[in-house]
Amino acid sequence: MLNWQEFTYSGAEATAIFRLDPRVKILMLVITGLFIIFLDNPWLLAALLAVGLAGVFAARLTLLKVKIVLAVIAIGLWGAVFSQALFYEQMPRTAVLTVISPQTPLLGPLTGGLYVYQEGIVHGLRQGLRMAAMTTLGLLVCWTTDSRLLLLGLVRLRLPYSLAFMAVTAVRFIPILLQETLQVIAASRLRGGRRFSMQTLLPILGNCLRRAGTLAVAVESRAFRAFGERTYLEELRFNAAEKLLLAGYLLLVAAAVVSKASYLGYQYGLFYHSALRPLYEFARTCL
Amino acid sequence: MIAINNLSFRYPGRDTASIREINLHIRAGEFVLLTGPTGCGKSTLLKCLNGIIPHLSGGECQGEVLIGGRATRSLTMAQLSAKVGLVQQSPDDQIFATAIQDEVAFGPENLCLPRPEIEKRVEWALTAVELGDCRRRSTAALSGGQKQRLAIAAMLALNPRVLALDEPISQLDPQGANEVMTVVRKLNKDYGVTVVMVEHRIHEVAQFVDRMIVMQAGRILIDAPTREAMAKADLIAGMGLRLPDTVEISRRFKLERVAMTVQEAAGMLKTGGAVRTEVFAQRQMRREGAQPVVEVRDLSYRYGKSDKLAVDCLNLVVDRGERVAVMGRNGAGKSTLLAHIAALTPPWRGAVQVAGRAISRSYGLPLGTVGMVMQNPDLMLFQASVRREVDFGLLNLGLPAAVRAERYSRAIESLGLAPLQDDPPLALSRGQRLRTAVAAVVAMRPEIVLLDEPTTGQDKRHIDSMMDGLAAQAETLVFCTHDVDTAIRYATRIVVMDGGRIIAADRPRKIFADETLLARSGLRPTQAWLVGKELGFADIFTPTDLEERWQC
Repeated sequence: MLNWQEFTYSGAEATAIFRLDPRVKILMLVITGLFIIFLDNPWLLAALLAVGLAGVFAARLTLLKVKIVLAVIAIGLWGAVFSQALFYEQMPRTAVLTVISPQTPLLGPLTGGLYVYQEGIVHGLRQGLRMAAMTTLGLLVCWTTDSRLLLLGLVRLRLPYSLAFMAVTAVRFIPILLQETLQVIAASRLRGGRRFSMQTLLPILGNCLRRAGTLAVAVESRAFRAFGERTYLEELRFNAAEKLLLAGYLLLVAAAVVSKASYLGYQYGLFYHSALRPLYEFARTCL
Repeated sequence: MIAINNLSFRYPGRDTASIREINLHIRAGEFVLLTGPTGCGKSTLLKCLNGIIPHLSGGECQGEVLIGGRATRSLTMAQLSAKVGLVQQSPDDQIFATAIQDEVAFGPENLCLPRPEIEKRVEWALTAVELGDCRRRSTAALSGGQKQRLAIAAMLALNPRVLALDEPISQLDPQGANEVMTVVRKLNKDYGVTVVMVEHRIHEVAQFVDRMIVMQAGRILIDAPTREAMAKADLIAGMGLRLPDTVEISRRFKLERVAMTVQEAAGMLKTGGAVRTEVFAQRQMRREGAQPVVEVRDLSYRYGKSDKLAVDCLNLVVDRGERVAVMGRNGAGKSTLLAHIAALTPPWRGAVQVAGRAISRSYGLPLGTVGMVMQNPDLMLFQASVRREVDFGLLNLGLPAAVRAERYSRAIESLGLAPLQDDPPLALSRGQRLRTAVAAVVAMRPEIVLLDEPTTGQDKRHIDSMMDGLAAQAETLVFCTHDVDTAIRYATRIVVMDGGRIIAADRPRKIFADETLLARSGLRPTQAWLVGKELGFADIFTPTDLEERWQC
């Protein structure tokens, strides 16, 4: 039986990453999300993933959460590499393995041959690493930030309160949903049912609707959205180290993005200056 | 304070009105109990007080509700939230903040109050519900009773003059229920808050309230001061509601007036009568040659590595034919014990044997060995009709058609589901859903049936029909419950747990006569036992016991 209680336990309260201002974490995640689009170097993408994993371990998350992160990475990477390796369509492409030869009876003529392409593997690896790095960092932020601080951080970053409240409340109820799913599966198993089927969704959805109704009544009874704005009991304040961290990271990313943009400008014949050649070289080889 | 004039309401998609032509006046500072059988319209009426109906409900609403002289229809939800605070049944579903002070501050923040005022209100509200010393703690760390008190504080912070409570103690253990009721009474008496409470556990709240309103089929049947309303005990009991023991005693002994407290009942009984001399037959703890169905040896289990032990070196033997009630506070380890017996959790340390088979990580139990009814029966209902729901387990057992049909018919009939066989289970009433879940389990004829707090949120009629059905169908039963009356009536043995350990296991009458044990495990003696104690009788646990012992 899955231990859902371990899922609700943060285990990270004592670590520095947990104490970081939620706005710093959210902004760094958003900046990384934008930055990662510009990156093509698989080594750099792998380094970002490694940073995320180092964060997961440094935050001393529970074993269950570490297992979830590793499973997500493994599934994401395998799925992206597998699909791109087989179905890569850009040219040039180099077949390194024949899965189905065009001469194979029935399947051969039907598929026109199925190959594993070297360029597809690299492309899939890039996509997979992008996805894995962002998922790891996203989970790290969620699991090391108290939901009330996440809400406050989002609001302070100008996200409308209603939207932030709904997002954070939905996250808050995930463990309860998980617990109920386990109960439905247990009830089904005890009567000879499968571990999971579409039928088991019925009571889970029914209970979700009932809970949503209760929650709606609870918040509406407490003047939710009574006015266009609201006040807050607690205030968030950046400290000097957090400001420095955020500014440093922003500068680093901005420099990398400018390098890559200059290189792309040169590559597509939009702009060239000989003094920028070391920058082009850096962007071509490293980014 | 509250005036309701000719109020009727019909939910969207329903043919009939849930409440009809209600006329009601409640004065400021009153403590009113609104009760009646399930589906009588009491919760609907409560939702009319704070404007959920008609502002957020849709449906058809006629008549008017005035709060402090102003019609709810003409006020916004924000204005109404500062007049009437609504606390709902499940504390887990209405608390959404992770920190206690954030939950309480939510309302004042929405009203755009300045920070010092929010601070002041949070402090006041938490102090009023006796949670003032833990405002920065996590809401997840609170007990059920504390969570419900927090939900009340969250409403108090809006400074309402009326508190509307919808079955606030139905999911709590006796200690949690008592904490909540004590706080609500304090708010009413010391702070002058008008309280309207919906509750069908009359026996737990009658002593606190000034006035009782009993509803049936959407109409008010009784509206009188509590003692006067209790004089119509026959009518109330006929609705399937449980009367306080003192009222039941007054009724059976035809006392000149209704006793509302233990002292009153004992005082009136002392005026005459003698005690029968026969002694109750003592039930044996274990019969000679009893065959064990469950054997738990030195069982220990913890959920997370850093968590305390949920069960701690626990030993228990349940014999065939026994009905064992497992009692204790929320978090005492009752549900964890059941999960081990059902083989849903393998033992971490120690051993669990069910029907002679040891449970381990790699070995569960053959299908049909254990049946389990969960606290929320809705999570057990995933078929399109009652027929398919009950037949589901029987089909999976691969039984011959004739055997299947016989078991199906017996389960359906013993639980009174024959007219509902083609209905979707989730569309049934609460009591019917519970009986469907029970029928689906007992139809498989398991060696042992486990029930995890099946009485939560159910009225007496539902509890009795479920337990009677189970007693007829299941040979061996282990059930967790906070309901003392159900335990006394149906259990052959009571196991009391505290902090993951069994601290007592004995006959119900012995357990409920031990006041020290009850206090330690968060249980309360029955009113009938207290009346008996006042009169100097031992072995009195129910009004029936007292009646039997009494010679006029």
